[in-house]
Amino acid sequence: MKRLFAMLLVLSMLLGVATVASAEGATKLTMWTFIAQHQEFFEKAAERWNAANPDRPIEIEVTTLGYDDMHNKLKVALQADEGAPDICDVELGQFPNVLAYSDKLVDLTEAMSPYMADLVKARLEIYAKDGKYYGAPLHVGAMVSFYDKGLLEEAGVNYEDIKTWDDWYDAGVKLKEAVPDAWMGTVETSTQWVASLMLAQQGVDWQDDDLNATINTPELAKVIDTQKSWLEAGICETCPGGQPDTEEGKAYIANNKIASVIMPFWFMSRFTDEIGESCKDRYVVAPCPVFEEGQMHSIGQGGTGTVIYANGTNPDLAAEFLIFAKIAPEGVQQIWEVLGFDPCNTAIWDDDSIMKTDDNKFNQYFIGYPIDALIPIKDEIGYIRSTSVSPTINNYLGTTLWNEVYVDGVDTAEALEEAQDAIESDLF
Amino acid sequence: MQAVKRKKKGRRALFLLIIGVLVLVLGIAALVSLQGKALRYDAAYDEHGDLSAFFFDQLEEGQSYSALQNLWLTIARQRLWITLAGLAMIVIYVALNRELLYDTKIAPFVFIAPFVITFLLFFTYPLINTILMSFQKVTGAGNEWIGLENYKNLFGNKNFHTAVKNSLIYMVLTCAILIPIPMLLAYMTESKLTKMGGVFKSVAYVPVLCSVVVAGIIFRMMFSELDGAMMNEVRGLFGMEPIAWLKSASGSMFAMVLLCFWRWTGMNMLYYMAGLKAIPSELYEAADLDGCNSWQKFTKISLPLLKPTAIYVLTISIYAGLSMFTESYMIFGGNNSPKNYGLTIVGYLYRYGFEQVDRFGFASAVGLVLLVGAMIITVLQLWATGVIGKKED
Repeated sequence: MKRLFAMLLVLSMLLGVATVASAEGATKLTMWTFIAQHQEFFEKAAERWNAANPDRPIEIEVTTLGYDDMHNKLKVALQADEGAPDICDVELGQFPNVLAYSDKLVDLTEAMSPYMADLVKARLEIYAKDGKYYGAPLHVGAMVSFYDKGLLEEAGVNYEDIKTWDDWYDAGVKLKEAVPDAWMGTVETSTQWVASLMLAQQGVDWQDDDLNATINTPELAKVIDTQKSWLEAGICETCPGGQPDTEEGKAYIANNKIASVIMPFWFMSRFTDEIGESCKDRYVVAPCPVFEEGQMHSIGQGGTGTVIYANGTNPDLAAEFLIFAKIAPEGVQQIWEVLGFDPCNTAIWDDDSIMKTDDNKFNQYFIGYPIDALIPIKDEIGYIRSTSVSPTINNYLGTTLWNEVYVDGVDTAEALEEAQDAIESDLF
Repeated sequence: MQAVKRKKKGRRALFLLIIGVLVLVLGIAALVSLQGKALRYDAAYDEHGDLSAFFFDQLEEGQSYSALQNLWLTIARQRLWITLAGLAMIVIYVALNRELLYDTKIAPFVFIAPFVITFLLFFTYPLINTILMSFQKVTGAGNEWIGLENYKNLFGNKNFHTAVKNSLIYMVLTCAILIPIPMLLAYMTESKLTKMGGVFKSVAYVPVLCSVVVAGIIFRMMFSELDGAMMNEVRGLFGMEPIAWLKSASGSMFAMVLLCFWRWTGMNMLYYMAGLKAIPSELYEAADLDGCNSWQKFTKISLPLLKPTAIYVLTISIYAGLSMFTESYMIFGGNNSPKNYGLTIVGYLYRYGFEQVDRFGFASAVGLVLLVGAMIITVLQLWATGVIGKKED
């Protein structure tokens, strides 16, 4: 049909570039990500897909953009319902913002259902809305303890005996006596990997179901007092750089004076790629301590959920490919082998031919097999939600609260009360 | 006589210019609105099918879409003619007053016209929209007018006070350092007594070429709290204990100011050297004859004659100090610093505008407050230094 408006567009059409259809009949899928390694991962997955499905070839065009840039563009594209890529990586912290447009995303619940029994549910929940799963997780990001086995043995401590935070504290006291310049661990001041774990172990979160910040709680006071006691006993310092995953933090660990690093499982790749040789064959991966037996040993932290745009080129094919790449056993094998992440599909966790191969760089780096730390706690992995109020809460915690209580020594109750007020006043 | 006559003629034709500009603006506006008209026609056609019912005053019964197209084209042509007529009137005005082409008062405006037009096109709209958004709650779902709510929240927010305080302290410190020291260094490198002045100039200028991102990361490592970090090693030389530089207010500010000093000294030296070169050498020769020493020459000749340069440096330093963001972002490895020691006004704006959801309206208010604040300080400064407001003798 002739349109008047089209006349105005003639000029822009002349200036525009004609799109060329793919020659081999492969379906062209576009994808955005903000992590360069993911680009490589998906391009390789597409090759495997084409080998496995010669009748339905795809051609994936992955673009890596900056973190803010990509998420902002995606939000705008979803809002306009135009220009969004077929497949897109979304960072956990940004997921609530993208879920606001869930009507424009493909519900992956059905596609994931064949694997549901093996998937870590906690990981799917954070990418869910109204019981429907919209994001395909990349990894669990389970919190684990990296223990310097030799250093602890010098103090006569067997890392396997550390079951509770009290055991951990006692081990630290013994370590300090045996090796005075060593530290049992670190106290984070710019983020809350450990604090989130300790909160989740007590069954609470940073916010309630109505998205009210819950900071001034006895549970959080317990978390702070526990870590304060580590500082007071002199078994820990506040972490240089604010947390282990910074240049300073990693340099600190590389000095071989830190007996335990409590971080998500993906911190393994920081050991192999960045901390390097000085810590090789020293650390062993083990479950985290708990306050009391029976509490959750771990929570998943950090991560990326991949979404499918419902009005894209071929959403069904894109979804099928996504499941193939990130959820099905053969796909997640690559997640472990290439990226060193703990895949969400636990079906392969027990498969020694995948997880315990000796030519794997992670298995070579650590004492024993890292996956052994996760297998026993498979069903005890919880989660901390990322919601629209999270940025405000995290911001206050990372800049002010931890510094007040751990560096300046402000009274816990006083600091928590101030924190609750400040965060509430910032949630306008 | 001639001048008066020319002036009269120019004034006579002035109405042509005014009407020409008005017609031109009208024509452009009409052309732009064609798009809306096209969309409305299309929508009407979609809704009614038969257009004669809808456009009964313009179309005869039974006429179809192609008639509508013709109508639209006719209107478009008319509007194009109006625009061209406006343009023609302006051209005629210029042709009647050909001396305008050589007018030294008008020429500058013609030369800056490309920039001004670009500026008006791409900056005025965002600026106006920022003002509007600062009174709105801007969400993905649409904007909602909330009056002064954003400003009320802003001025009551503790972090905003911290940000303003940090930015002001940083601005004052950088101005206090980056005005006298580069001036002295420029004078020294320009002095005939200095050997290899070119080497010093280059050395001082190299940091300017260095990316602030690279510099910021290196400063972060220098000011690390690890015992082996450079600044802690320096403390060690004096027998002092290592400290956590970036976890204290003064240490953080010191790192940021030092980075600024390191980076911009060379640039400011360059401005001053240009200023020094513009001072006639006769003045110095005369001073030599009168038996002045170097210090007297500096204070009595160089310093007063460098005042315009110093005012320029001060003006850009004030603006740069108030709008600092990248340095702090890189030194602290992100927008969050311990107890917000490194939070600046722009960092505060970034936090709400980009790191949080649906706070664009609030961030707009922050931006406007920064704009107004910077403008007041700059105008006061220019007034105090005599650039504006005071009549020349």
